Amino acid sequence: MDRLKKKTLIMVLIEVIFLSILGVYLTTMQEYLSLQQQRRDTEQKITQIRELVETTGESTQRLKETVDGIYQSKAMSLAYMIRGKVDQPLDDSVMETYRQLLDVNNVFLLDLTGKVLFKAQPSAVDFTRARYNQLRTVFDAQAPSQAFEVDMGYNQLRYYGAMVDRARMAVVAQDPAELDRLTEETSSWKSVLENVSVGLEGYSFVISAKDYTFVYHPDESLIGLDALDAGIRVEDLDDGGSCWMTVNGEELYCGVVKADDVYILCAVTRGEINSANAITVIIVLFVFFTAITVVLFYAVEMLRSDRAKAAANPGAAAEGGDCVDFGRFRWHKQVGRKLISVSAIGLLCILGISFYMQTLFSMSRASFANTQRLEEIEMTMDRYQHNVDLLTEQYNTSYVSKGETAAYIVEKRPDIFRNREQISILSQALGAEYLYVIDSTGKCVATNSPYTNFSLSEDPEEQSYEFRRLLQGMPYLVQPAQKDDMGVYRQYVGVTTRDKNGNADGFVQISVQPELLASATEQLSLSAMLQNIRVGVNGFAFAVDRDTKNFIYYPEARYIGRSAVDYGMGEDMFQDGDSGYITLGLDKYYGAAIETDDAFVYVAIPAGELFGDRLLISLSTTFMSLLCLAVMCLLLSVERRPSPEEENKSKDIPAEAAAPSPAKPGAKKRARMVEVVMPDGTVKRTESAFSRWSNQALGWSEMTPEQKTMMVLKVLLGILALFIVVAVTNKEAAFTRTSVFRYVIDGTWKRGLNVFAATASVMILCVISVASMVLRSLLKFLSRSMSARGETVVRLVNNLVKYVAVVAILYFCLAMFGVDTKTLLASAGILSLVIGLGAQDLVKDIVAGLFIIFEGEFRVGDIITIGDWRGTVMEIGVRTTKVEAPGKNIKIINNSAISDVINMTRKESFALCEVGIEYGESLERVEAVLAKELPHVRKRLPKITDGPFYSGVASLGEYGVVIRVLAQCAEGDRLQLTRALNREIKLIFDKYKINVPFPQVVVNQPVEFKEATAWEKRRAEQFAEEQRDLGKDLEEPLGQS
Amino acid sequence: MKKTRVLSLVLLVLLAVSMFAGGQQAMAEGQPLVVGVRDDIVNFSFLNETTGKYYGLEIDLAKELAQRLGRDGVEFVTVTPTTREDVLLNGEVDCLIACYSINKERKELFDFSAPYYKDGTVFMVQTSSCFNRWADLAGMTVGVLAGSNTGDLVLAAMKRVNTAKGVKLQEEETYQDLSDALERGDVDAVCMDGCIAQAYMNEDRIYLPGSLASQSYGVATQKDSELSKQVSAVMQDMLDDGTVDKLLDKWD
Repeated sequence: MDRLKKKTLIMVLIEVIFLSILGVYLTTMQEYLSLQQQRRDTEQKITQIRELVETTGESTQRLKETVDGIYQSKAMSLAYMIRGKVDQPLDDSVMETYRQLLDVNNVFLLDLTGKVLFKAQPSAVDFTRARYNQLRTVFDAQAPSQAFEVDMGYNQLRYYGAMVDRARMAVVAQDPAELDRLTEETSSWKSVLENVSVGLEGYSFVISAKDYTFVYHPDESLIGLDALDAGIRVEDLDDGGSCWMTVNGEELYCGVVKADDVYILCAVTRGEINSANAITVIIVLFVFFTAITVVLFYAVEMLRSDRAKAAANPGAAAEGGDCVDFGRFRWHKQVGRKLISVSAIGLLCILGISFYMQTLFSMSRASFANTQRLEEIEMTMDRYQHNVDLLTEQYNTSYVSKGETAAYIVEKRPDIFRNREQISILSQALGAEYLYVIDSTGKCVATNSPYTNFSLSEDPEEQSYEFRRLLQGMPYLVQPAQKDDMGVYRQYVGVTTRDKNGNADGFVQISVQPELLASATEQLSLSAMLQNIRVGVNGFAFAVDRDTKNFIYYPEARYIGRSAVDYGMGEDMFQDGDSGYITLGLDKYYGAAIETDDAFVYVAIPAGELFGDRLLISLSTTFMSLLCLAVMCLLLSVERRPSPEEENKSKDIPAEAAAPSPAKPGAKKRARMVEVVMPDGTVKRTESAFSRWSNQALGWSEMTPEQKTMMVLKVLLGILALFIVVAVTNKEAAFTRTSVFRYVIDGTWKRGLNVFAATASVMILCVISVASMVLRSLLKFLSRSMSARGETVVRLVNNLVKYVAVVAILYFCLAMFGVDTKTLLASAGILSLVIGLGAQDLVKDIVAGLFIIFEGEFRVGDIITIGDWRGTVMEIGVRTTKVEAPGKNIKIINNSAISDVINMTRKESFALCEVGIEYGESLERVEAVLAKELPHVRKRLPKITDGPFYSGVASLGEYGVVIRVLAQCAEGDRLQLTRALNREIKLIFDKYKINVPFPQVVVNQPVEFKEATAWEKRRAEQFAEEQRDLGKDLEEPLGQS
Repeated sequence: MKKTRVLSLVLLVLLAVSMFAGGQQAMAEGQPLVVGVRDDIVNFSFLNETTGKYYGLEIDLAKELAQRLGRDGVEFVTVTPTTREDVLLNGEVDCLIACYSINKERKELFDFSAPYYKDGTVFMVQTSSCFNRWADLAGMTVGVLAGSNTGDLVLAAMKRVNTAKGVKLQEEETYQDLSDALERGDVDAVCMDGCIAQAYMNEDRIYLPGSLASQSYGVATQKDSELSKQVSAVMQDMLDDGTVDKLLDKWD
């Protein structure tokens, strides 16, 4: 025993060692892999941010150019108006009119050197200074000057110049506040980075490369503070690099992008990177611990019971039948074999679960990543759309301004419009394609367009119809760009012209070809965008038309326009938020989808990429377990062969001393463990049927090693289940938002046969079974303090809970796996019909069971007779009733088959003894004897509750006078008491020499019979015939009646 | 010959050691090193108004210097180009690490350590002035910092490009004033040290190609003081062991 204890201790030590090794290994591996993954992600994010910065720069640049273009064109309009002498003579007040017309802050007319000739508003600016050299470039370039900004401290203006003639130039000055606002809107770090999602909870921030302060941070209180003080090290700020950084005590994994004079960092918290690690490691370790502990426990228990057996039976042990000797050691064959089989199961569990955990881990991560990529695509689309909107708005304003200028000129100098050439020059100065002057009837009176004979349409469907509203006095109209009647992508803008009284007398229409807008729209197209989307290492994005299910975009151009369904995509993949495996051709991908206005957009990564190194982890975990189990199996099944002396010594120890016999003879308690002979001849101990159905738990000492092991396993699994239940019910506290399990619980994944469904099912299983277990043990506890009827109900409820739990588990799990349970429920009516027909018996049983219970025909513990079967009711189930016969056999009777029940427990029973006495015997004498003896009988048989009574002569029988003696007793004792009563009566009769009659057979000698003589034969024949004839008439009336 | 050389070397070492020992005894070790620094030169020494702390190459240098001198921390005093010399002469600071370039006149006033940074003096102009070479500045106004030696450099440089018109110089008190004058067009160009100009550079400005003079920044200490020797020894150490290079890299 001592050696066993020592061995156990060593084993536990080994287990702990392996457990800690595995723990450390798994933690480091997981962390390493997560970091690796994060590094890849961050690298990608860096590229993305770089591109984003680039495109933002481009779009800001474009925006600036657009706005500058608008003002340059205003400068040109101004120059045209001065050159064309629209107003004569020129003075400051005319300039003011122009300023208002052009809607700018100030306008100037300068001479060659920069001297101000006329100005709209007073200004102290000295244009002769070198600072304004840019304006003077217009004379050489013959084009509007590049914009530049001068901050005078008191005001800030942006200047645009255009040449009037060789000696003069027109200058437009505009406060750049509006431009700044627009650029801020598109290019500020906040607007750029706000939409960049880094990981799930990560963020981007910007640090100045000049003074290392935070330029942008989601936490605005940090902006302006020193990043070095916050913990960032200058050495880490390496363009394109990624590493751990500490910012205000929080550990972040950051990727760095250097853009101009700032560092952009995309940061993911350590917590997020390792979010799933801890729980994965814990679960794998738990499984490992469980497997090893179970094996260890099983082995120790087996060895202990073996010892006990050997000690009880020294002879058998000495034979050493199940041991194989190896030199000084011997191998316990039986123990070894059993251990190996249990270990194998444990190993399979470990492999399975660790692989499962890794799959869950990587798939959820992939799902997260895919969803995020899609979100980014969506955001990019939004951003593009926003930029296009901004541009459109700017253009529209400028078009209206052009139209207004043209309208002004038309009003002032109608003569210009008589000359087609003049219109062309004006149109050019305005930067418009064509100019139309429409009169009040809607007819074109002047244009530089080849389409001269044009009038507004009367058809509301036509494009030009809308412009009729201008004739009614609407100040201006901007039509969105569209293909016009001539099939060219054009935009039309009209501005009303007014007569001297201010009444609308026509309008000026200009047409432009919005090339820039067209190119921006082009850029917005899905294909152009998806082309630039990066998805993992080998992943890609593609889009499928919503209606036709054809590829709109696919990396391989030849697939574009073909049917996605033909290419292997299932119908179930065409839904918003879908996430799962996608088959494309021969390859399998893991992807996710979003639905846009007219398409499904997918991102997909090769399925093979999903696992990567994770398989390695499961395999190495399994290998380590194998190692651990092998060591333990070997150590447990092999022991040092005892030397001959020791063996002798052990033989000398008396058996009683060595092993306390577990079964005490004569114990009142029924043995719940019985030995059974299996069909193949082996003897196994098992729990008796009685024990299984009884309400009591098995005592620890009564169990076999297998049972004990199962018990340990159950306890461990129970702990796990409880743990899961706690975690599931407190999901907010237990898991972070990014946790795999949170993802599973939240149930945003696609229902179907996948790892998430499996996990969710396990969780459901745990929750429901723990709940039902708790409920049932509560019921069990209640039943102890209840009457028999109470116990019956409790047992029934118990059963009910069990069935409901199973049905609930099935229902919810099926729902997880994508089975449409609602339809299932809806079809329950049909289902019940089917059941009603197909499972009539079952329903009958259940109904019968309910009646038995609620009518109280009998209860648990009652002694009943069903047909010819008499026994004690053990359990009334929903379907069957278990009745135990006196021989300890248990009959299971379907409830529907229970009929003609005699419940013998309800009243007191009688033990009955009927005995005959000879007719010759004096009845009075016998009665006198009974009167004297019966009280003694009562004393001898204490089970008799009342009596015995002499109840008189039962019958005058064939062989004797039958008298009856009755004794009242409990039904349970009746049979035994009857026998005892018979015995007593017999003894009394013997004592008083009263004979009991019994059938006697009198044997007689056979008689010799004589032959008939010939005469007699003849005489007899005659007689018979004579008599027949005589009696003939007599028979008729009888026959008739 | 050989003997004397060895002997002199030994003597030198002894001298150095004794000087060190003596110096360290003389200087109260626990006292902080008071350093005059600028507060407006990003990457060199810049006062972050939000945090109230100084950052930059010179700040890190000063901290390292104080540590190597066995001082108890550093105390920074903001100096400007006009005040820095007086402050050091009056002993209000122990040393100047304030983008103070080494030249002959200054060497007569102060002791300098080995230079820790070499820089060029440059012209900066607005893009809108369309200037792109020195010769374009002929007859223009150039802004320089009051109290600096840049004015002389500008005049010398303009002589070199041989312009008859010459230039007008306009002095401003601070670099910010210079920059503002350039923005308004009050001056047509400004001339300042490259590292300083960098702080005022923006997308509307350019440098005219070429550098007027190369400047070397050193740590200035009072003439012939105990500290001078220690500082130059420590600065030499820092240059030799790559500390300065590392800091330069940090504050590129």
